Amino acid sequence: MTAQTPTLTAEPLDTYTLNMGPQHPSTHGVLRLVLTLRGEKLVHVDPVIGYGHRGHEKMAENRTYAQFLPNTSRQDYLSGVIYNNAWCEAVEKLAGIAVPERALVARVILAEFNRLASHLMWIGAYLLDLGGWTPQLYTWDDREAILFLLESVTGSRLTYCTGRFGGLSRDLDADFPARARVVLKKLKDRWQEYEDLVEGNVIFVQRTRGVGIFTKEQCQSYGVTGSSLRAAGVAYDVRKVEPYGAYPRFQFDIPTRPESDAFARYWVRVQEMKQSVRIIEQALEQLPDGPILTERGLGSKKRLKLPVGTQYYAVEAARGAYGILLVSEGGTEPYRAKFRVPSYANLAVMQDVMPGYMVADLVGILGSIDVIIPEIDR
Amino acid sequence: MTLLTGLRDWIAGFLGEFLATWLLGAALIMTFLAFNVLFLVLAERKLAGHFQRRVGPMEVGPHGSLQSIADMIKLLGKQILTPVATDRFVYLLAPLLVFLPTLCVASLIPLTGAEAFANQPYGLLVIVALSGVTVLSIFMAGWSSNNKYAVLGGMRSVAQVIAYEIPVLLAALSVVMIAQTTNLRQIVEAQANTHWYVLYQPIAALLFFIGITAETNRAPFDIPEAESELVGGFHTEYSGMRFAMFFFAEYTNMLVLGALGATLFLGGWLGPWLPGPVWLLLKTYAVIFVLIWVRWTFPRLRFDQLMSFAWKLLIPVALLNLVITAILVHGVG
Amino acid sequence: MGYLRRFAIGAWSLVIGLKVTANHLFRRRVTLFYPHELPDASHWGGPIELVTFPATGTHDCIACNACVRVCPSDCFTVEGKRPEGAKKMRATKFLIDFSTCSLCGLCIDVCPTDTLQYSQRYDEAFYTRNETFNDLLKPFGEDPTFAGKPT
Repeated sequence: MTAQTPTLTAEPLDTYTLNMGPQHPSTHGVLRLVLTLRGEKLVHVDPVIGYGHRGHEKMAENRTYAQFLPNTSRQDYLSGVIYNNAWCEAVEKLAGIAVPERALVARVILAEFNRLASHLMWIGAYLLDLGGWTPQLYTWDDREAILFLLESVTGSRLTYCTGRFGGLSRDLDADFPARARVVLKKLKDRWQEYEDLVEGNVIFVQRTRGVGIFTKEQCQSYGVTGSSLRAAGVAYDVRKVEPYGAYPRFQFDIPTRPESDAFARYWVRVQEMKQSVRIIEQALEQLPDGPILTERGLGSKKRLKLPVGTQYYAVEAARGAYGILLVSEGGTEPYRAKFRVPSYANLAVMQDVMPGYMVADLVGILGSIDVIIPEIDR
Repeated sequence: MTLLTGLRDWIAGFLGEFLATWLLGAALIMTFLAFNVLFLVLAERKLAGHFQRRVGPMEVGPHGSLQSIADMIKLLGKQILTPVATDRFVYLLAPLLVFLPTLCVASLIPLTGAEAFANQPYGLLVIVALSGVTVLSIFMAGWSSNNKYAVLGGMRSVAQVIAYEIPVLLAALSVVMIAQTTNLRQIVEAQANTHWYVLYQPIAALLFFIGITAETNRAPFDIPEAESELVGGFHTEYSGMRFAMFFFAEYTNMLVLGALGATLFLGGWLGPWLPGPVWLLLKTYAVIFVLIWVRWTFPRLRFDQLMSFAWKLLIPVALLNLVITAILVHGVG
Repeated sequence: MGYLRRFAIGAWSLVIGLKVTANHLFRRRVTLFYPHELPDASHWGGPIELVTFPATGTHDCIACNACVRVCPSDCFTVEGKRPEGAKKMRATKFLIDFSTCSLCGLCIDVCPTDTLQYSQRYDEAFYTRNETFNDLLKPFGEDPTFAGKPT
């Protein structure tokens, strides 16, 4: 089924247009949705993006590889570490820079903590959209513990710039494993509470079951990745399909669920959080000693000149598959850096999915696909 | 008491006995409700804070106790904007009208067994009839705002209140069947002889409670004023003091319906040691505490689920409860 | 019968949810009364400042402009002068425009004398645009290297 504009000339008085403008409490950013409604039912949804365009890809053409590092976190600010790491890893792969073992494992630990923080934030925001104000405060309490831990390692809480070419800028200190385990224990004690308060709650189940269903074929044709794809029954996770970094050393499962409704997406994300905890525990045990950086100031003290070539590097961000297409013509700056962001495709499939549902479900569906609009606009 | 009678006699010197009693009574009720609403607004914010592992307002006054007064001053000082294309008369009338039914109902609830008012033979029916008028002013607000979001909010509110009034009435009728009267004072006096009616009619009490949650537009039934769905619902275009009127009307409605629930099911002013009105207040606040607790725990129901919950579940259960009560009362005698 | 069972499970889930929030009602708050209670910012990477080396009691900026060149946002304004009889230059003016600084830390990496570091300040607020320029030499006062000599 492809999206097409309804022929409004047939019954023009039957439908009306409602603009959920760029300023709206629950569009998760500056997204404009032009809705065509017939009573309470949606006939057509037209997402208008671009309100948050900042020109990251153009900036990449005018900055050296090291100078682009702060931009990476700002694209998807809830997966800042993952995006930062991805840029470093993409450049390292194209330039052939070796990374010490400790840095590889440390990158995994930081990335998984970041994924946990992002999913916790999503749970809070989604429940807020549905009208339950309290679970957000509990998830933010847990997220605060994670952010405090990451602050002790990187110096930042949301927009991280800790990755360098050849490792990380700051090392994990000696008591980091102990503190990390305290945070993990706090999280594990909370799973039952979230299940009691949210997952088992009949009102939440009624709001999310059978809402926003899309098929595997729609996912494939739009390029949906991430938890939305796994909640449609496809076990696609970049960490397993195209492993990178230190991920092949750890054992973890890919949770999937066949129904592909909003409840399935919630369930998949909660299970992903549990798998992330599992990965972090294995990584903490396997954390090797050694240097955290091969050479200090690589790329900044002396500008990196990458060999000529094109490189596509994909990682699994909190929202889906994030890909960097890096084209180098031998200079100190990239010729072209294209970022494939997961939220773009995840939002695009909504044009096909939303018509037929009611306006009250709109917020429920939009929240469940977990988009960050500034990442779409870059 | 002598202070009040002295005041009334002094006013009667100017206006006559009837007007003096009437004005003084109205002023007392409004003052009493206003202070309670100020306290309730603060209590809700503090309780919401504690449920969410934070504390509510703490800056203004010791532990934030003067926050309501600061809010009032802020709302009084806001610029009152009137959009141009509204239906002017209806737009201005709606915030005033939303208070009136609630104030009327407040004067009908007995505080002690021995006062001069609140002794109507059909008090309960009058109360239920009046509480249906509140929704009229909400719809007036939504319609006259000339705003699609507001109209949607107003229409939803009308449908919701009409649907949930029926379980409230049926639950109250179950109580009437046991007490054999619609006079609120006699209902409470009947509870003095037997136990509180919540023990005899637990299902009716639950239905009544769910009904008043929906009547006061509170979560999980707060679609008409859901911020994340339709910005502000029916009060989108109201600002400043006019918004404050809707805000306070909602809390006054909560108070009054809570007091009604306490009267019907929890024994009104009955209780040892403390004076009657204090017991009534305590019971009212117990009902309101559960209202606040429910609000800060559950997400919102979608509108069609809300309506089908009322029509397909609550009303059949309420009717069934009524029939069973009738059989039991008739059989027991 | 299935309907009744689902209804009972649904109603019980509401009761369990109420129990969860009631548990939290009686537990201690997790928030801080800012500004009466301040957070632990000992590891925070705040606005860039110059290091005070314990051996010399002052900074070691040689105004090489490496940080100026590497900054992605052009935040730095650095001027230096070589004092008479000294081998290296010394900074006479060092400003960072904090309104464009993204706290990336590349300047810290690139500095040859390791004289830049993150501070732990987190509550910088400005009322005018001029105040967004942090003067990094201000905490050091009169520079003894240039004392009495025209800069």
